[in-house]
Amino acid sequence: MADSPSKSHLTWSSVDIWGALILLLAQLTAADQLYATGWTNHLEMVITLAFWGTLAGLLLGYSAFGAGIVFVFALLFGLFGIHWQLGLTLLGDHAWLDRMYSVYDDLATVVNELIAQEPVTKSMLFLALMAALFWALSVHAGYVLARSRQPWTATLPTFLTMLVILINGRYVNLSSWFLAFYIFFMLLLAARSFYHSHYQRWKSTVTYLPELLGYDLTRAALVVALVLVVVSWNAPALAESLPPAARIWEKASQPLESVRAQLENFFSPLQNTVLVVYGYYDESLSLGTGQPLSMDPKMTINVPPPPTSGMRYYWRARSYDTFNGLNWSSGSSDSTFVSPQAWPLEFSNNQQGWEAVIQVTSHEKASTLYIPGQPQWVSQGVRMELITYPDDSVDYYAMHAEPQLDEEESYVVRTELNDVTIAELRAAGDQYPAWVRERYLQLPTSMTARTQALAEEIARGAETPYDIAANLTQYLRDNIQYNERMPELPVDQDIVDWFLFDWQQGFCNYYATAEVILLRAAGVPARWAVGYAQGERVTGQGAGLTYLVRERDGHSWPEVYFPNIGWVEFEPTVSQEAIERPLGIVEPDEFDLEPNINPDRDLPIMDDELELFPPTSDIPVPTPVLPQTEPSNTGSLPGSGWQIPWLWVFLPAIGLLLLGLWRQARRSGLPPAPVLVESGLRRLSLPVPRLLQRWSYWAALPRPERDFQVVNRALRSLGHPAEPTETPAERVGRLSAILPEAGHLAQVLLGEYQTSVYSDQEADWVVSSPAARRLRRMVRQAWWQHWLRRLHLQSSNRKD
Amino acid sequence: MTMEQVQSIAEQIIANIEKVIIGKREAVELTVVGLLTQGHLLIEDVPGVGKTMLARTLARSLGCSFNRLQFTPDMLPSDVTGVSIFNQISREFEFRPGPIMAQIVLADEINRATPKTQSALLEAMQERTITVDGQTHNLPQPFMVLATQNPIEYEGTFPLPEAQLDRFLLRVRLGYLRREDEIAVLTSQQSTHPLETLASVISQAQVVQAQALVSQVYVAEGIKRYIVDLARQTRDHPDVYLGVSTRGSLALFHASQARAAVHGRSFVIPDDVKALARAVLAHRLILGPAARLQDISQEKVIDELVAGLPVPGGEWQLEAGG
Repeated sequence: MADSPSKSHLTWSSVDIWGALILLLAQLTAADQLYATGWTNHLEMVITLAFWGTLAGLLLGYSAFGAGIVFVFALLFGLFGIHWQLGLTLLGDHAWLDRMYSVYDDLATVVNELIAQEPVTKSMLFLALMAALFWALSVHAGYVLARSRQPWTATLPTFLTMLVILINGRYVNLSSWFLAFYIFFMLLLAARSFYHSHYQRWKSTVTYLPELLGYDLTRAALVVALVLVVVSWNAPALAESLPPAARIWEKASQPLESVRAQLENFFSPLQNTVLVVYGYYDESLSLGTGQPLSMDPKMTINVPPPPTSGMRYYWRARSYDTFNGLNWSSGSSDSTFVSPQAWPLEFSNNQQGWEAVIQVTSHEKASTLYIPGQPQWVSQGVRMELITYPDDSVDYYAMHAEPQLDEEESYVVRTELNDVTIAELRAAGDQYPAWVRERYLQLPTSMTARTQALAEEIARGAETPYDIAANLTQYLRDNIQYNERMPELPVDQDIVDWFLFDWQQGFCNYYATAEVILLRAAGVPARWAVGYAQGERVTGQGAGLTYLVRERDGHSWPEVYFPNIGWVEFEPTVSQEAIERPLGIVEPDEFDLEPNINPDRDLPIMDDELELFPPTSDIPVPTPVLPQTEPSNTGSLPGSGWQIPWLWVFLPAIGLLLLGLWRQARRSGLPPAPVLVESGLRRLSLPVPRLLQRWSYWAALPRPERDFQVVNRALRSLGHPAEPTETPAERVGRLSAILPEAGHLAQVLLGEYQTSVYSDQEADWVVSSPAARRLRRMVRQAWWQHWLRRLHLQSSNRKD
Repeated sequence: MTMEQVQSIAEQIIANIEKVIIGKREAVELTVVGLLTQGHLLIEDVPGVGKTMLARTLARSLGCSFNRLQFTPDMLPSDVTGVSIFNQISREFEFRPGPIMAQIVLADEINRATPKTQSALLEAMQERTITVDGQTHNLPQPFMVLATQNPIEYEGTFPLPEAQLDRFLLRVRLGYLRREDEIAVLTSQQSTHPLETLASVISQAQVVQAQALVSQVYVAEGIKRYIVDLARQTRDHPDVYLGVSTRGSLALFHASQARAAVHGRSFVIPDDVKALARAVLAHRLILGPAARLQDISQEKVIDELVAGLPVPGGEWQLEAGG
């Protein structure tokens, strides 16, 4: 039959429903993996297409059409489906023709941008390609499985695609679990197809088949596949926990790692061809529409405790000065290599405050250095993106380590941090140097009048630039809702205007950008800084503090320039706590006017945060921790990539152990668990819940007796419940009278039940269970028919 | 011998009897159950419905000897058991066996005999021996008494005392035939009586073997409880003056075993008990005067009790309190 399947006549027995179902689940898993990458909005359409694609593939595979016709059909369906899904991505009420026009317009834009080698601004092409890809993969999988019954050929292309997604994706952990599930389904499908095709052959050669062979085989395949996947997925983590195994694993995994590295290189050109621009700290950065950020650790930072309790660290990667209404950029800049010996540099911005020595350990290969404040010295050779002003002073945007940092490599930075008080900030005045005025008051041409009006309104009454900044920060914190995801950005509206007045939701990029623009509109120089927020405080080393910074701590914030003080961070994003600065020495009357101090509105400092900062006088200044003298202790941290949290190893292992114990216990004649629990409760003279009573009663029944309950349930569901005084035979007789076609099955069940209950022999559940299953199905059908007939009668009565 | 063989023997006997006794499957089956349990049958019905024919057919089917005892008020115990006669030639007393010395005995209209004669028969039934002039004689094997009683004519009768009724394993009522069955009887007896051509289907040895095997039929604890509960409930029933004795429970127990064997089962199911309860228990009840005035029959009481007693293995939902 498998040799000439296309010619075979289609019968129900040749259709493998379970196989089809498994394939459907597998394809949905693959689509979910793509969706979970969060590469762009509307990726959920891929799931829909994978579903319909698999179904279409299966149906076409089982059809009698030739390959050519099938291809044409698949193409037509696919074109329809993809257009339909792409059209749905546009919000609002539009005619379908308009939607199509808009889709093609977007596609043309993307193609033009690609040709001109400009950053791609729309995700439409990517979406279209992904939709087509998943449609093709799903149709292929369904078709191949149905027609030629080759599970591996059916699933391999999707598997390879998932591999590519895994390597390109940002959330390797999550992605790899999707892949694990897919492999699980592949194994299951292979086992299922093997059984199904052989079953047909066995049947045709009249080979004896035990009644429950299919059930047993499927169950065995399920267990084997599960164990295989869990073990292989946890192998790296397992191996690392045992020192001898770790060495073996290291050796064994070396070739694998190199293959991975090769693959990564191989696929790297793919990364920026179709994706929306996401060069995170590039010279130019768009605000983006938000992505889910993982718990992957990025770096661990050792710092001295700050001198004042309100201070918070901001790990800045880069600052931007120019906003064109869509993207931030850092103007024209040079890049210079600076060796550790070349410090100190003459910065135009001479930060004042206190000097801190921080040590940063990167948990992944990286080049960008994260530095709070104004750096004075870096232990690493760096390539600095800087700008030289007419007076020969320099300012920098970002620093990149040269050579690149390796995983777990550390660098030390001596930096000048500000610990200014509010009084000092208010006293700073507004005598900005020329270079500041030139670069940090620039506004986008698209800025609207109402944005300007808002800035002026908030600034009205504020006496100093600091007050303006504080008022603006508070305004944003009060009026804008935090939302990690943004819809498709408007094309015909200024983004800041849309954000402030229409959408009024967003994440840090929008908060910070809006604040910078409003500040500049009010005449206060500000810049946009990106990097990471402080992160989670983990156990400190010695006197210092240690922060673990994860991917999800990614952040951006506005920095305001104060003459003779330098850049000072503000925090408009509600998801972060407000910055509490010390008041300093202020005149009493000034204090009354202080707009920022509002104990009702400002978020209070958390108790545990207060503990973080001992009184200033007690703080011993930590000595610089140099990487070569202090070995990194971050090895125990879960690394990025292929390591799996321990929980994932333990849970399946404990589950398997319990399962084994339970089976062993059952074999050794122990009563079932609910019975044990019930008898335990009774012994303690505690009340036994009725549900538990029922369950233990049920669990204690031998299987044929459980199977016979189908007859009782059938009688009840058909409206003639069994009486306790009725013998089983009488019940079966009654059921046979109600449902004559079930008579034979009920007799089989009766025989086994009577043997089990009344005789000294054991009944055979291998006989009773299939009969029970079949009877259950039959009764269900009868039940539906019964109700449909009743409904029909009722409706016809009503008509009469 | 296996249960299947017992079943086939029973079926052969039943089929053979049904050649003569048409349309009385239930009564015939009860007769076979009585035979296999080594019990005795009380057939209670009006004359002419086939009581005697049933006994004769059974005897013929088994190839057993058959005697008929027509009870009359002037009948003496020796007319049942037999007498010792002085043989003048051999100058010895010689035992002349009475009609009881047969394997199947039909005691017709047992209630017409005096209690003295009745008790002689009943003793023979119970002991399976007779004692005449100090000499004990064993009755043949298999031995079965089918006694008949006319429920209509009570004039000049000596109703069996309850203690003696208890010795009958089963009470069977034949009743009138259905119309088609009666027509079939007419047809079958047009020229000859089918009994004349009836052959025996099994040997007496096989009957004895089957009787031995019946006692091996398994009775689950639940079924035993069910039987005892049923018997106990007759004792507490408000309409009943005297309930079923332990002999009654035992009778139901053994009869159920036989019925299971007749159906080819090596274990008793509640259906066996239910099917036999009327025949085994009803005649053992003495109803109270009030019930008699209300015309409540013994069968009705048993039916009521059976209908109200939950069967073992019939529970399928947890009752309150576990």
